[in-house]
Amino acid sequence: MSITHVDVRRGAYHDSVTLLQVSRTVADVDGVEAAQVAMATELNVEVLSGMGFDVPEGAGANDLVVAVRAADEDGVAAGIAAAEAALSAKSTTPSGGFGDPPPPRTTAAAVRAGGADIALISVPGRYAATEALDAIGAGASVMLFSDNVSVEDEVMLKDAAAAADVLVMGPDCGTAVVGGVALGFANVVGAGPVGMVAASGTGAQQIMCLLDAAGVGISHCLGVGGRDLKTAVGARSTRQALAALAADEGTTSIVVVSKPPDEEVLADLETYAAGLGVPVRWATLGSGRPDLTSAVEAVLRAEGRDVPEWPSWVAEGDPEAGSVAGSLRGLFCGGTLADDAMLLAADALGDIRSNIPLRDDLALGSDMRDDGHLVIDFGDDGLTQGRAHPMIDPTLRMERIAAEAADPTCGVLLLDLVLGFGAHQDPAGELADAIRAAKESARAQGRELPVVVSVTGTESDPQGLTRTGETLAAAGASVFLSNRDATRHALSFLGSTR
Amino acid sequence: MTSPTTATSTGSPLRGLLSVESPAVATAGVGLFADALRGQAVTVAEADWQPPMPGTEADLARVMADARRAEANATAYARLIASTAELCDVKQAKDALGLERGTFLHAGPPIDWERASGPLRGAFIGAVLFEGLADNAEEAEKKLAAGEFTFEPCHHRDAVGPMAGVVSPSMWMYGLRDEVHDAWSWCSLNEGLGKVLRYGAYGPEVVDRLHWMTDVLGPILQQSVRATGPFDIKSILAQMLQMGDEGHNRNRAGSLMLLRELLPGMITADASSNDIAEAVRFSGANEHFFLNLGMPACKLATMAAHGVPGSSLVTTMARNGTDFGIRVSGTGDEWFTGPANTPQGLFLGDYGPDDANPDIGDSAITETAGIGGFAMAAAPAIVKFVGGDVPFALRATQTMYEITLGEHPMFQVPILDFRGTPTGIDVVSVVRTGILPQINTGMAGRVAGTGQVGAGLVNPPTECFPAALAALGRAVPLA
Amino acid sequence: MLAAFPTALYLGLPDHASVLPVVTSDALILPTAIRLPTPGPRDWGVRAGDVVTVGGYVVSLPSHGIRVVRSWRPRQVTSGAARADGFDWAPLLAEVGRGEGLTPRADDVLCGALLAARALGLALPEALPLERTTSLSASLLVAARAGYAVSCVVDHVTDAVAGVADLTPTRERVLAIGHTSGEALLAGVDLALNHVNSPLPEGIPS
Repeated sequence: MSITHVDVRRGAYHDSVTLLQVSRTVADVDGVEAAQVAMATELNVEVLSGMGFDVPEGAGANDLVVAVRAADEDGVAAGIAAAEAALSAKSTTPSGGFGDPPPPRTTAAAVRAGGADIALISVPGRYAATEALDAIGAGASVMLFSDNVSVEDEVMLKDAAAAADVLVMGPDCGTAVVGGVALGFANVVGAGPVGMVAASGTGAQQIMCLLDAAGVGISHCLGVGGRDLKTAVGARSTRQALAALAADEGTTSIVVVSKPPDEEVLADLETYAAGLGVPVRWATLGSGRPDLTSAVEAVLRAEGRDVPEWPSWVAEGDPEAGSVAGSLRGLFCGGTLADDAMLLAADALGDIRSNIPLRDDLALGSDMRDDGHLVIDFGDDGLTQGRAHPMIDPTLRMERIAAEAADPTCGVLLLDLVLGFGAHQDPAGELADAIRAAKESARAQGRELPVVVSVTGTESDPQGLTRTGETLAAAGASVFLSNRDATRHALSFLGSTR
Repeated sequence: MTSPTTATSTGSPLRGLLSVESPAVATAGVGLFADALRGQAVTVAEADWQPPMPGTEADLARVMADARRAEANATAYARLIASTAELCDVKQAKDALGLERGTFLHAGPPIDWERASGPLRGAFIGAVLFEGLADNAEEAEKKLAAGEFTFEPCHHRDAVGPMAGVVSPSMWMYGLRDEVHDAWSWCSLNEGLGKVLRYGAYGPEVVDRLHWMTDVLGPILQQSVRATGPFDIKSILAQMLQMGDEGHNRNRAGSLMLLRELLPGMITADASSNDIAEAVRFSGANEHFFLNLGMPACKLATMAAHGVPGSSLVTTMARNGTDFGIRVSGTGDEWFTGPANTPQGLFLGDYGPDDANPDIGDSAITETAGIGGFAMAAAPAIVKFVGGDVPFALRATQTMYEITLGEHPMFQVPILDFRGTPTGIDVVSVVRTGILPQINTGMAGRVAGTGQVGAGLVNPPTECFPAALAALGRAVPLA
Repeated sequence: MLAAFPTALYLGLPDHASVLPVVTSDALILPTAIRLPTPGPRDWGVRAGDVVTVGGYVVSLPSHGIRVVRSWRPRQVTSGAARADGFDWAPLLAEVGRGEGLTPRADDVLCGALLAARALGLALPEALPLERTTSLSASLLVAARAGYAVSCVVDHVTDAVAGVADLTPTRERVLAIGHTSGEALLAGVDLALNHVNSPLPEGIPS
């Protein structure tokens, strides 16, 4: 008979990433059977009740819930003590000496305190517009990592930013590099002449890493948010970013990377870019347009550079090409990598269902299940409400990998893995374990499950590209730096369905 | 109010962002990102971000996007600090405010007898007796309860009153003038400490003292001010902050400086030498003598800032012992109220927490104008009176910068390297940070007639601020 | 260790004109410096004359190490279109090393002139008599010839060459560098500017 403890602490806010780490720490305590430390958002309350914890009525999004289940009172007490210790260790409030000022509490106050050029905002989406406006008012450019920001707010923020001659990178902007400083998720690449404008985080990372592999560095990578090239936003930030890069001494050519843009926005933008006096090249995904790798290869050729052989680690013992009966299952953390893969796969396989479908009628239901080909973007807004991005919290995707392994209709698994700043310290280790387990569980059912991983990273990244590739290959996966090559390899296993 | 743009070359886009040698970054939200930046040896300023007050997201977005707001706040703030305050006259309330017999002013937002707290009721009773409108306390209470008299907030007549703040027509008032904005504000004379009307005492010694103040002290002060005034009260405020006062609960230096100004005119007033001696002794014996001049000086400043459409600057914080109310520059005369909190602090004699009445008085006008609790760092000795410790006093002032629009150019805190006091409370900042204004205050006894039981620290009730924010949101013009 | 101040260390490397400054974020950030993300003052635990080890992206001080994790991008004066009229560098070069302190005044004047000359497109001197001055000053002369300088100086040169009418703000920031350096740098910039702006060649009466 276990004992359950739930307490609510009013007005004790911690960010979701911190709480994820605290929850894990508490769950690892001896004697603790289950534990969750989370803000009492609607979604978290659901998760908690799913775990068998009753959250008292009246707990709201600003209240902290500490829930612990253990075999006995001692276990509960140890769990709570671990939670307290972890929370106080994570507290950002420095103890401070006599007369020291308290830490700044708002973004503008922090901008003023630090003389900041850029404000990196990652508060929950419903508060994000407020903080961003605050930073713009203080004269700083904004990298808005937060998602779940409305289009109306995005347009309002970008207009305010243009009036103040600052840039809003975002919302939902995961990647930027300014003056050699990596903001959010970014890879360690050398300085060089190519400037980037990115309406896509992982797309930008893929291009940065491919350029790096080809020995070409970047000057800056300015994020603009995934919707910037949609009609509603009208490339507001992209134009500002292009103009700034065109005026930058260290930038001699520019690459624009984007998820599928709206056609008329792209057309206008091409006209605008033509007048900048600096060559602008496009890695804007879409049916009939080049994939990310091919776009990089075109850039390299235009720059008079050689196209290298992209690094890869191909597994041995996988089924023969064309011999696998099931469907493609792409489980991605990077939305643009997912788009890139889907566009390539659709040419070979036809319709692919997805939570970010190429056509509305291909949308997955809320259960995210289908027997056919499917690609899921775990970083999409719909799957990140109330939880951290899968590059930080891979739980959902890990669960899905296990589920696909047990699903006889799954023919090949295509995964992505993004290295660099902000990403998990040792993502390959965790993923390699999951891949091994998946292959074994499929084998137990009499299937041989090929697993292909698209790794976006560089040798200089803290996790190291080669080290990662070798770790995953040792688990039986085939690994490619080029997302295109990874996708093609995955497709090669499937018998032609057309 | 500062614009922290770094120096950049002319015409470089995005304020020179791409030519910054090593960008400095401010972060709000996930701590992981700040850590990743520190790992790259980037200069990082991390906000200790907390969610705003619950349910305010939509109003915040609406008010912060109000195109008028930045300029409206700048205007309101500029008026607040530009206002002057000179003691120009001393008059009876009936002449100064046109206060009719049977009407009584009181501190805080509007209230009726039914909901009035003990000290406010006690002060009403004392004032009724003082005006001769009843023969004894029972009769006064009966008439008050029967609704025979009219109650009105001091603030509705551009006046302020400490604690109960009860003003009746015969009472003498200091008249302060803001020459820049051509405005007057009024405040009653301080009765001293102990059992006094403003703390709800109404015994014979209280009423007798009020009569003496009316017959003797008032006329002498009037002669003094008219003969040797006007006196610059704002300048005394600026000086006393550098002498260990905060202008709300510590007024020692201010009181002495005021006395220095008033004495020559008092001594030469047309009155008996005994009366003059008593008036001088009475004024000099009271270390809060100055409070009743600091308050109207602050009232003049916040009045000047009031009525700017789109401004989210708080222009009134006042309590009547039951409710705490605020008013905001951009929302006109509307009060946003909540139940007044009970101060926490130190008690006189045998009194304890159970004896204290909830927060009362218009004296929070000092915090509204950037002194009092907001200037606590200037008055570390005050912690012996209101509780807390010296680091708390330093932290209190420094925390208030988070919720204010500017730093007062004249009111400075020596120990913070003469930084200006945090001035001009912004409703938006209060709602966003959840940081409530810090108020230093006296504590009245809960039971009518008790008087002062202690002094301490108090905050406004949270709900005033989201309510004011919602009203600001409703006032935003449709785009 | 050439010099140790609360906000800066100057490390002399074996080559005479190679100096590695290590500076706190609030110090004067020389274009050749390792910059720390935090402000000073700082107890470095070393004095002038001490020997410290530099290498492998680490400066090893006796009490702690300073690790290099990222390269920053010092501001650089943009080269102007080349002009035919020559600037006579000889008088300035003859003065190198003259003046007090780690950066003699004459060297600062030359730095200012080199930066402005680069922006104006004037031909630069082929060699600098680096051996005549201090190591630190020599390293800054080398940087200046390549267009690198403290950020506020780059701003001033850029604005001055662009013909910005009111140069007071940028001049004031350069003057704030302190000692005689700011004033001397401005004097050097003005020398090059006046050369280009004088309407008539010398010797011809107007």
